[in-house]
Amino acid sequence: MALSALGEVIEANTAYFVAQSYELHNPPVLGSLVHVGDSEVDVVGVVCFAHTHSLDEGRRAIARGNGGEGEDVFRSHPELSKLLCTDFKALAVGHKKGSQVFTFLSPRPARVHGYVYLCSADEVRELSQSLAFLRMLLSDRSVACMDEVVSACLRHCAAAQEDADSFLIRAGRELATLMPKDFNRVAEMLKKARG
Amino acid sequence: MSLDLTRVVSQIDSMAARLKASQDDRRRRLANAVEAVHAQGANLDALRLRLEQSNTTWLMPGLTGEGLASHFSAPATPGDHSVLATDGSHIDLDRHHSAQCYLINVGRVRLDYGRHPDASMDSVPVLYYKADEMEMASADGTDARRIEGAILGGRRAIEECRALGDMIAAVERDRPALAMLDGSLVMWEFEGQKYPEFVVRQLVDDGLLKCLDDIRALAEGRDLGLASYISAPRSTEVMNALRLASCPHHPADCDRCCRGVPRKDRPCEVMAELSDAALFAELLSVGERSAMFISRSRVVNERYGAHRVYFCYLNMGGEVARIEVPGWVGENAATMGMVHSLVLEQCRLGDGYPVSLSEAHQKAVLNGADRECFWTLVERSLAEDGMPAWISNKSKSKRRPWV
Repeated sequence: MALSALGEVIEANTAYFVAQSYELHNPPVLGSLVHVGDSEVDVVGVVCFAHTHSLDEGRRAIARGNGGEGEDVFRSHPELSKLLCTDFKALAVGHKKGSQVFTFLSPRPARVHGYVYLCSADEVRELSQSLAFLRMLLSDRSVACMDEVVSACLRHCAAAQEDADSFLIRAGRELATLMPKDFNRVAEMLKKARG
Repeated sequence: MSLDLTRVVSQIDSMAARLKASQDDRRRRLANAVEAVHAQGANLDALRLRLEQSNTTWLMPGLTGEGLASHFSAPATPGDHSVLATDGSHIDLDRHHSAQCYLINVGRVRLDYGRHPDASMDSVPVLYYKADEMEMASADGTDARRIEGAILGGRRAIEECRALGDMIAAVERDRPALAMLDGSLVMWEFEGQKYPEFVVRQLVDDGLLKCLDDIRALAEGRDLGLASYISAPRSTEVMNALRLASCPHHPADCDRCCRGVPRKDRPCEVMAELSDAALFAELLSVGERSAMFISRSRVVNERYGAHRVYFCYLNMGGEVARIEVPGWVGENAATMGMVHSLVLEQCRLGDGYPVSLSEAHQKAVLNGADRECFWTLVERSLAEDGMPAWISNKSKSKRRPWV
């Protein structure tokens, strides 16, 4: 069964892409793996940030409720669903070409207006065979809560494995290699990865 | 900044002082007006007779069976319902550009309330550039007027109304709906002798009224209200009726009785300088509407027929708005009740102004950057086709101010 797109790319460069979610308040979950549909190369990314905001930069959202009492703001203001949008950002960690998966950056960035799909469990397993994406995530300085993103991504990958424990042990070793002087941080990330 | 604020500030202070000094006089006039409303309200038939017999220089309202001082609370809003609204904006013909064209952008909004809330909002821009779209010609071809200024404004009003009709047609027939327009239903610009008959006929009879005919046909057998909303209205028809009531001459004939009398010395001046909105702010509680009145403007009397415009005032809290509806809405108490309750609810949701109209405006509005972008696109397109994209020296000078 063909998967339906979660959103559409509205900004892209070599390192990341930003997509507008088709559903307000419902972007793919933090740490999940997504790919941008393309006729040649699919860019694969890890969702690292989501943001809900007014579509019109000149119009800021204002409080409309009545102290939480009485009315559901979105029921009484149906126009809000068309005035707000949820964007999500995914850091590029690899790409797909046909059935082949590569754990290094795509030669070209994702296309603007490309459709974004969630990676299937098979694709997640294949991408996470190599843990190269961990180094790419940790070297990024654009996201403030990267440790949380890494934990969420490991949790997401572990759920797709036949043996989640072995995967997390392997991931723990990789993190310890990448951050040899930061045992507490690695331990905390692994603890959160186990959920 | 080209405005020298230091030179303006003292003038603003003088203006504020003058306004403050006139407050007592205004309060006195308002108290007189409120007293007159109650006095005349008790004898509506006598006032109606005076209105019919008098010959005044001001526009008078037509009276319905509702007394001047009547005030009505809104009934409950229907459960599942839709509110539709359109608003428009345009780019006028510009003699400073070689491409002779104009653009009308209509913002369209549908808001569904109730069990399945939903919204759809978009805008439809249409560019007019063909020779027969540039002017309005008489049937015999002997006369024509360029479509610009007020005529383009009229054409835009028609497109707004037509778009509203299209949206109404898409609403399920068993779903109560309110369709809203911004501004007056009365095409004031086209009464009198300013424009030739063929222009007025094409804009009013074959334009706006034809669209209203279509909407009326769609409204048959269903709960559909059509209303236009006027924020901060300056109209004075009801106050004019009170002026007439205060006139000592029977029947009143301004041209005969007060010819040569300075305005300040006329007996009706005690009711002057007050708007209907100011009067009804004193008479209506928040959420209440006034009595219904009928527009007696010339263009309505001569042309509107079943769509003759009824109006009332509605206290939104913070301001009194004027609501205009066609006769087939104003004469139907149930539909008028629905219009009252839904306009009020729209204002509550929109912080004092109907949320549907507010969003339709946002969809329609063309700001300076949009207009600049439009002309740049036109020039680029002409250049790509090898045509000289001429713009006037004045326009060039505005774009590239030099020192």
